[in-house]
Amino acid sequence: MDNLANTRTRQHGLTAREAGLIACTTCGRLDRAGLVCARCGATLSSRYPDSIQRTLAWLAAGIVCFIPANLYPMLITRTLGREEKNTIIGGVIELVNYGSYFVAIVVGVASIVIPVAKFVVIGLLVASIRRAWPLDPHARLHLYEITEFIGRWSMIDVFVVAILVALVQLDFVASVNPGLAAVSFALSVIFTMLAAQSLDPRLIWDSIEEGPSDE
Amino acid sequence: MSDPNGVAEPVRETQSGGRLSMVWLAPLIALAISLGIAWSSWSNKGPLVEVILESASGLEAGKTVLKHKDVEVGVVEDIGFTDNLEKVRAEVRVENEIAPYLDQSAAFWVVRPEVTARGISGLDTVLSGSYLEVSWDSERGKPRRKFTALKTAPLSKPSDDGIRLRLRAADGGSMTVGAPILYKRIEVGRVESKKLSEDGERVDFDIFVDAPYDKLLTTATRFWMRSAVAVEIGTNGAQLKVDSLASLLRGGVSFETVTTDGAPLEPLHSFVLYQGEEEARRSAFVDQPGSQLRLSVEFESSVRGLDIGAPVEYRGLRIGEVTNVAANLRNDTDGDQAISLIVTIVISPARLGFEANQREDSIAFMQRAVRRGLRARLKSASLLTGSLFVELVEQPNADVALLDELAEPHPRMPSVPSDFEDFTASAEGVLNRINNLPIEDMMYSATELLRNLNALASAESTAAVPGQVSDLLQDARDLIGSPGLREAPVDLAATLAAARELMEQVRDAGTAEALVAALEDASAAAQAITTATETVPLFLASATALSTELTELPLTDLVSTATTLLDNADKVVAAEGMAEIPANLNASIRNLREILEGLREAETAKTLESVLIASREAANTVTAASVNIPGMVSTMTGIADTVNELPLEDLILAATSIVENADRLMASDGMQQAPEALAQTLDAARALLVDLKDANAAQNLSEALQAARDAATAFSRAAEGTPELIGRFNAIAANVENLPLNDVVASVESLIADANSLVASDGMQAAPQALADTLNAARALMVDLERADTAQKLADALVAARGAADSAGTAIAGIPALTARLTQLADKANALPIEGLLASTTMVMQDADRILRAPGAEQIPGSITAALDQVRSLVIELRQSGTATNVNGALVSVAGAGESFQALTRNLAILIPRLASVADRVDSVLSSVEVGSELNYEAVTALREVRDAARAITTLASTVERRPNVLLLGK
Repeated sequence: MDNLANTRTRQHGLTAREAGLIACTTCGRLDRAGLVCARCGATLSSRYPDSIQRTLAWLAAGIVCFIPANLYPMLITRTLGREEKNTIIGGVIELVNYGSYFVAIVVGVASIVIPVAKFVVIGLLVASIRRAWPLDPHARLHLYEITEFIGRWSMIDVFVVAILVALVQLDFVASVNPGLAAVSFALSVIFTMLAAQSLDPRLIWDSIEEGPSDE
Repeated sequence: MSDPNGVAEPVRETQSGGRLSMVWLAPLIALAISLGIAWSSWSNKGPLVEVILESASGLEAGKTVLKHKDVEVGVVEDIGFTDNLEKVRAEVRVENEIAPYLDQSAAFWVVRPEVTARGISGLDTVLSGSYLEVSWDSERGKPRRKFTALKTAPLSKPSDDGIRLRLRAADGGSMTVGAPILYKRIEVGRVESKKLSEDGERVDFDIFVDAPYDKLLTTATRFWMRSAVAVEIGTNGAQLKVDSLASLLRGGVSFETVTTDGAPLEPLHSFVLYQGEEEARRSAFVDQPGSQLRLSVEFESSVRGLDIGAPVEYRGLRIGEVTNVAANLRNDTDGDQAISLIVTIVISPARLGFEANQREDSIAFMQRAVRRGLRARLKSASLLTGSLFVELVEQPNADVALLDELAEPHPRMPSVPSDFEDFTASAEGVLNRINNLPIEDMMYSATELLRNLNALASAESTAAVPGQVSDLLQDARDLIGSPGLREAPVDLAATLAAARELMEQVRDAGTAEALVAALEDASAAAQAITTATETVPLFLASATALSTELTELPLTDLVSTATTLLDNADKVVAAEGMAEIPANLNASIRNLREILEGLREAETAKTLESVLIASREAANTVTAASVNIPGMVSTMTGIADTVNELPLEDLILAATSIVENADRLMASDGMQQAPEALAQTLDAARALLVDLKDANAAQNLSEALQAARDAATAFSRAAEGTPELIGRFNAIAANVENLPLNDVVASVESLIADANSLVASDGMQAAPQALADTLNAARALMVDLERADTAQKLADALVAARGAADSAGTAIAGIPALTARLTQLADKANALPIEGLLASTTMVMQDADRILRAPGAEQIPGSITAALDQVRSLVIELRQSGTATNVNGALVSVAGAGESFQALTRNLAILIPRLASVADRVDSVLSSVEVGSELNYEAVTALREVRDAARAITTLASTVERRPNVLLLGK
């Protein structure tokens, strides 16, 4: 009965976690907290193991890769013997100079704004979990879901480069080759998506209930 | 974990206590790779070299490359100005491996397209844009980081093999930079620069001779300028040499190694550049002090004409030259002083076959030769110029003399007097004759030629040609390098994609096939209409004949009374509701037009054509029949005359009051509402027509028309018997004329008066309102009918009607016989005692009058109104009780009835007179169809639209034929 006394009084019922139960993510069996699932033998854990740490690690990898992605050329274009190297930002500026504002905005948002925003949002979520900032958990969950959904759209740039490289190979007249930034950018997007996946959103309200994470 | 109560402890997983996850390897590896890439690109980054340029024409920061032997070795990173803004400073990032070679020897220049007298160079840069070229020698020196670019591409690069020499000339002549160095007329090198020496006394040329020709050069080599035009006047006569035009423009240097005793050369060895080949060859004997034999000769006679440089010859072979002519004060043996002329000559022993540096041998040889009689004497070189040279001659019988080896400054050679004075006289004669030659003219011409050539070469336009060609190339390069042109492939690709998409859409939609099908249909319809139209004139001719006949009939009465009625009708027509009718009618006609299109598809035109043919035949028959009408009309006129004599005034008064009442009736509110109700009814009818169109009415109509045609044909045959019938009627009319009609008229008069009071009754006035209401209800019923699938039923009914028409046709076929019977009947009627009948009729009329005057008659109109009310409520009830469905059933029954009727008509020959009245009405309808009527207008409009559509299709077709690409590009 002391255990029941420990649980806080709340409007909703007892959660599985509070009841000492864990759902197996492999077979779905609700089991008493143990090391392995009694049915399928999968390892049980109430929250993603090392969620915060993994998220931070992938996030760091993503940021590291984002730096060369912006410093090195994304596309190397040769037209009539003339070689041009375009970085992401350089390409956006060139598009603006040509007056293609819409395309410039699309590229700029997909390649610069979204990745940076993802870094910021994931960092913010991790910080809010660890420091137990009293932010609205529902809003944070929304942020997390948007971040996870929108991440894949940053790959548009990489696909465009891949298609251009495959199509535009006209020898002397025009040829397009990928620059170092293409690989870096793809890696950065992948790492960021992994970071978003590693973050366990349940920690958001855990942190409120239990105080700062002790990691 | 669980306690006995079954309530487990809450899970308290913490997020891993202090243990580092393996995932941290990912950012570490990414960091390591990124750093590695950064380090390698940083370490591969070569030094920054500064190149000072006159202008940055054609250079772009970040794009222009540095090349060496067409291999990229660096990129221009930045372009700016030098500190004092005088020149352009380009910062070039060069590759690491070439950095050590960028020493003193390295030369930079900009490669641009260039057109010079030597040819066109740098043509590839027209497309690719200018680039910086660098060249260096193969040795590493002390690296430099600051260079000044050459203004033009160097003619020889530091990396070229060969030797660079310096030539010094008294003046620049016509030599230009880039002029070729020729050896036996083969180009082996070129002049690299031309500049004034520091002291301003000479002109220095730097030349470069390519390997392996540099092996031809020794210290004994002599260079001379090639002159484009050389005039030589010598013993062989006058010679004019003109070299190639190229050498005229650029000049050139030739060389020859005259003697074999030269030493190998050091780079930048200095040579004298002689003005001509002769001078150069002569000089070969001057500059070789070690191997030359210098002698002095004392001449007694005048040395006028003997120049320094004059040759020394032995038996015609040139072996040396005069180097000095000087006067010498000599102490004679008798104590006097005398002036003698000492000429110093230089003899090259090598020319005589001695080895070089065998001076002693050659002197000994000369001593022996002098002992044998070798003497020096002056000889005239040219009769024209009077110049002299020194000849060594052997005169065995000369005075004994020796080579005075001890004489100063050189050993003295004995001389003999020259013999040229002997023929001076004769030479003078020769010269006189020569004087008379037109040498001046020739010289003048030669001078003129030279002047012209000079003017050509030095003209500004000639000089401007290379610059202009260069500008042209520069413009071409700018054009090709412009951003717009580079964008063009992208735009072109997008356009092609859009065009391909459009093509696919067109192909998928099968537009072309649909168009072809539509055109074929239109063509078929046009043909059918044409065929149909051909029969129209014939029909019209017949109709015209008919109408002519009809026009001649005397028809004048009743017009004034009808006018009042028409006025009222006009008011009715002018009612607001009436205005909607045309619109509705138009809509109906549009639907009708669509139905007509359906008719066309059902090949109605052909059927119509047959109908028209049949109608024409009928009209012909009618025409024939109407020949007899005048007779009848005259009889009728007789009747009219008789009638005229009757007391018709009262009748007309009564009729007028009836008309007035009718007028009031028309003017009543209910009647005013009727048009609106009629308009709505028309609306409903139109909707019904739409349904009709959707149902397969056209096909049925077509078939009905075929039946009608058959009927018309039958009618035509029937009409053939009509004249006789009319004749009989004529006789009847004649009889009627004789009848005592007065009584009848009186009765009719009172009957009409009663009818008048009846019409004027209140109840009758209320009737129109009831009629309007009834019409409303009818309209609602129509709407319901439309909602129910009436059209389909009507189509079925039409099918039945067609069958009926078929039967009618068959029935009409019996009309001639019927006509014959009628004729007999008329005969009998003619013979009947009509007087008795009329008396009975009069009595009947009087009875009717009495009935009308009866008290109950006043109540009849009220009853009629009530009855109409009942009818209306009945109609409403009908509608509410789903009558439409029943009507459908009824129509089905009608279809059945039509079939029954078909059977019935076989026996109903009596119906024919009624059909005749129907024909009358049709006639009046036809006459009402005037050119300006609404229907006609609509038809004309429809035809115009068809014509416009045809035109549009024609235009489209011709446009497509002329320019098929409009299908792709739009118009």
